[in-house]
Amino acid sequence: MAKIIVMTSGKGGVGKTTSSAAFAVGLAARGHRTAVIDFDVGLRNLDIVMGCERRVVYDLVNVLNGEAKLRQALIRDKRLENLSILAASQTRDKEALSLEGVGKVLDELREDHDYIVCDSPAGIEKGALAALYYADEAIVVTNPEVSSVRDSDRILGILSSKSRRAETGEEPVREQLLLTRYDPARVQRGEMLSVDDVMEILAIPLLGVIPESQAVLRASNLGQPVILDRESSPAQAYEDAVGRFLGETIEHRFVKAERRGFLARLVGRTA
Amino acid sequence: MSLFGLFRRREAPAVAAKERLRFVLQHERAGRDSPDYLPRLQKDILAAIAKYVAVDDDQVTVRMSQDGAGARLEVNIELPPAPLARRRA
Repeated sequence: MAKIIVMTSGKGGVGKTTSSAAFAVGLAARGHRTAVIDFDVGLRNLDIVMGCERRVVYDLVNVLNGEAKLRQALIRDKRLENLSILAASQTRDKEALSLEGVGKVLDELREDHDYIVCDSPAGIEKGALAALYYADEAIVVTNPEVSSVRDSDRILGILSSKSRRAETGEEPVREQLLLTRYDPARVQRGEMLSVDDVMEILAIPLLGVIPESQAVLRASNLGQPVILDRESSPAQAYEDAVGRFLGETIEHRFVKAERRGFLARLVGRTA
Repeated sequence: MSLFGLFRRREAPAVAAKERLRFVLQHERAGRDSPDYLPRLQKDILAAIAKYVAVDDDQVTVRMSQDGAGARLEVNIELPPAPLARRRA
């Protein structure tokens, strides 16, 4: 049975799309048939991060409106044959995002996929609700920052009241925390909320900690999901998180400040 | 640096962040379980009561609480001490 994962946060700019792309690639690279859907109608960006922006012909809204078949709209990834992308529409209004329509698209995807990653837009409006409604799993992307943690808490409240699983009284959506843009050195200096602080407040299990890194911008410039930049610290952290998501026990890395030698500090760059 | 350190030895920003989060979430979580219509219900109840008694907005509180058996709607009205319905006399 295919699993539906929502990448959500409430707040914008915390790394939902980066994380959706990383997870989709990570799952597909491990052999799982994976689809990743951009729910940010009007402000699509997953296509850019995945590097397939020139191949978007039809999008989610076309499919919902019956203007294209799902098969026509799915973009096959050039790097991984068992990964496909469904872009959001750039122009149409989000009225097309009915829960019923989205449910049908997801049901069709379930037939021949193992994982469906839903990249939620920011906010708690229609697109965000549609992205989380059918979720079996929620990955709550949070920055160690007051407003982001607050918004994540709000999204957790919505997951436990407005999702399909909440409405039907089934087993609740499994919620896990993905802490992104983490800077252990700043945490050590008392300038940034620590992993423990955020976990204590949100009270959900930790899926992974993604360190702040220049590799993320580099990846989005190139349209190569950062998880493919194997040497970089975020790629390794995302790999670990995907492994944990699939049930592996992997120790958390990049949580403590590295003790860097004088020379390293002079050179002053991290991957 | 050490001289600076002396003057700067205030509470770490992360500690302040955590405190502020705790405070704001405590309030937001308390209000989260109440249904969306509660503010409108409160307004309607207030309007109905105001027909008979002079009451202010802040003298009526409407709260929804959940317990094992189900939901409970609590309406709390503080009435003025004077005889009723003076306004209309």
